[in-house]
Amino acid sequence: MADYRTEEEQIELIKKWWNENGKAIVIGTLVSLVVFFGWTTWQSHQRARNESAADLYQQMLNASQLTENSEKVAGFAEQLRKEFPDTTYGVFAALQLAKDAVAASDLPRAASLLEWARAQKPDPSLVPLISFRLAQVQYAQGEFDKALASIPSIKDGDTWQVVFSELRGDIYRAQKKFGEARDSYNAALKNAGTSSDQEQRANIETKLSGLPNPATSAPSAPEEVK
Amino acid sequence: MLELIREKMKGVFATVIVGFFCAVFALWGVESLFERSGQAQPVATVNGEEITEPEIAQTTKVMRQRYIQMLGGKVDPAFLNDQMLREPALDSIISRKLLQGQADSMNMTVGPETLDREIVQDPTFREDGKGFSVDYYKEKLRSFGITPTMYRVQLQEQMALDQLQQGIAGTAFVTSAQVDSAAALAGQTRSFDYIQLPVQNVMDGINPDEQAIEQYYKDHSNEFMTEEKVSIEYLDLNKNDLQKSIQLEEQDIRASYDQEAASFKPSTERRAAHILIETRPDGSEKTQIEKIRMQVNKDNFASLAKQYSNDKESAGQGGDVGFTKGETFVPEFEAAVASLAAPGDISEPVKTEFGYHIIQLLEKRDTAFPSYEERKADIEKQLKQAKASAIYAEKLDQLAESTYSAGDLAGPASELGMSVQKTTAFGRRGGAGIAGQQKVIDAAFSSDLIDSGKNSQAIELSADRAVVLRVSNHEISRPRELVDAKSEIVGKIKTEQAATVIRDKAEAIKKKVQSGVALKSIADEEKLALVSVKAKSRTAKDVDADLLATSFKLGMPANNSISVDSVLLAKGDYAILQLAEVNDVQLDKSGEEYKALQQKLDSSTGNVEFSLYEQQLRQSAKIVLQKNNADSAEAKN
Repeated sequence: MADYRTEEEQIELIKKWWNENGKAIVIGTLVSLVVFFGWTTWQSHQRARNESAADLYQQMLNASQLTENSEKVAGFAEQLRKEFPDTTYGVFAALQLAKDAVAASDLPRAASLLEWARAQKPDPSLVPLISFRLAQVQYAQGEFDKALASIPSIKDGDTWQVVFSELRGDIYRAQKKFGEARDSYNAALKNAGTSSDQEQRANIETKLSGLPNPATSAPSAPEEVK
Repeated sequence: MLELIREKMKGVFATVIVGFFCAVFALWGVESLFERSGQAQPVATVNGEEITEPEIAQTTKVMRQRYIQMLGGKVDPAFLNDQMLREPALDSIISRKLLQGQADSMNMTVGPETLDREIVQDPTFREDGKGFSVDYYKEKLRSFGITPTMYRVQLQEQMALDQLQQGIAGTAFVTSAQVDSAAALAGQTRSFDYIQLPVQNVMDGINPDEQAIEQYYKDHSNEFMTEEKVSIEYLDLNKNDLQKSIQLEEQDIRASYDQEAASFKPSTERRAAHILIETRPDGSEKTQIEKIRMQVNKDNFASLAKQYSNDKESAGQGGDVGFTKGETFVPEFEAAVASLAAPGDISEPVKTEFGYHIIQLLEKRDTAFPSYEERKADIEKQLKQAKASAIYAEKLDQLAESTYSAGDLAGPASELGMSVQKTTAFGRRGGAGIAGQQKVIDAAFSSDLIDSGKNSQAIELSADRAVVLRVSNHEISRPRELVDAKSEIVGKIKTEQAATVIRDKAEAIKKKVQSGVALKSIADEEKLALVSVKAKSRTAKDVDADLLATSFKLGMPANNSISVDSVLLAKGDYAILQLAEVNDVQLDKSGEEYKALQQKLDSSTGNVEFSLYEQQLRQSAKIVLQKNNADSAEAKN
């Protein structure tokens, strides 16, 4: 291309182009630089925040390894919950506190902690777990309808179906709704499949056989029980 | 070309282009311009994360070591080959990647300070009795074959995984309501009534006629065969027999004794006791030991050792550490022991790496070489064994060689001065004597010996015994005569028919009971006893296990429904069982049983929830397995 233009002409051309576009380029570059550095600063801020939460959590775990240390554990957990509610660690801290509340028979506190954890919009993978535990606590509180409502409804084949159905069965049995309890336990057995833990199956079968026979006089009734 | 570039470099365009490349290299490095080529195909990908062959090999190795450690010598190494472990290894890598990916996406991490703290506190990186040192840490990692950077990455990943696991499994709980109901079920007792239909009565009523027997014989001809048997003859080479026949000359024994005596070095053994004061941080051990030295004498040494010595093991024995030939303990200690002249003498404080010792000589004895008479029996035995081993090895070679080509055993036997022995006929399960050895049975039933009539190879039954055998007689399996098999056939027909009859009868009775007929009236009709079993728990041992299990499978009788079932019992009898009563038993909340149950539930629920969580990740993950793993792919999803 240098064949038909002299160097001076080329420079002239570039100068002209620069006069037309230079401003846009400078502004564009500046904006992207600001965005880039802003983003990296935000990133490193987030990382630092996660690391402090992680550090606190690790200290909580280390403390919980030792017995007679529940006050220290609770201290770390409360700090995590207050300062880092939007992190996974804040949620795990609430779960730890809920477990301790259950152990101390403080069911209302356990329930409110689990509700708090669920309200933090944690990673979706944690929601079935938290809901299940909340239902466990509500069942223990005697709030059976609330407990049933807390158990998420999921489709057959989902991994949580067995324990969810089993808990539903337990709650129905406590309500003396034996028909529903039977259906729930049978659903649990169906989902347990054959590959699942033998002990789990045996437990559910035990619960089934502990239910009264259904109110029919059909000759084949006891067959269904098996 | 370069010339041209240099020329153009002057141009502004060139500057811009070079500037662009500079920026690219500076920001992303050279790698960004090239596809990663020449790398092995990944075996699988988990949410886009690759799993490579070396990773699997590494995990397989670790798994094998773990299994061997866990199972000790009880596992066949062939079972732990790479093929067997490949799938579990891949599976465990997949779950690790899944969990790591999850921990990552939930922003779980471990900061550098936490990592540092963890490393410094790890006892692995502490030299005995010392604190953490960077040199020792690096040396230790080198011995594991990893660099500090690699180790930090691994540790970080592992800790993040542990955090996730703790966050889920460690926070699981069961409520008292759940424990109560599990306890109620566990302690539940049941009462039931049953009648037992004896199969023998039914069998007595079945009398198959000749025709039926003959038909059964024809239909099941392959069940009525004689057993295949072989008789063998064999040559038995036995080191113990050889040893008995060896005669030794007195002078040989004497020569061997003289040789032993010449190489014997007499030595002195000393028995010592000590009092140890360990090195203390404040350096007070020296004054302490000097104080003890002032008090100690021949008679109170043992009691002072018991009172003061930091060597807990010997302190209980009054400081006694047993005999030494001068090499058992550290050199400073041994030197002090050796310097004590007479039993009872006590040393001045001696410093060793452990601290300060005061040592007392308890006993001194010189080892003397035993007399010829004392040693004779042993030497004789050793010489005989050595000779027998030599003869055995030589004869074993001869035996193998001469029997290899021979058409019988008589020839080799006379050549070797042995005699041919025989067994009676035995089947594949073996017989008496040598026929009980699995190696002999396998050889005797091999086609080489049976069909080709060869001599076996020399079979080494132990380090001291070998045999060569041949089959002298082979009885093939042939159909038995009907007359022989008749009583057996009658028994089988009766058993088979009775099983059907009694099952049908039990079913019929069960239906009757379900329709409302009392079990008692059926019992009377059948002239059978109605047995009542009261309040048995799940684990009761004093009831037939099949009856108990059935009683616990039935639902509770309620709403006018009847819980009844028929059960096949161990001996072929049938029982018809009706559940009468179910009693929930509340376990005592402060009792051991209740606590054990609560603990069991608490720990199992954490594991269950974590494994469910992992499965949940698996369900929503994108796992791609390469073709050669495709068959295992179905098992994964």
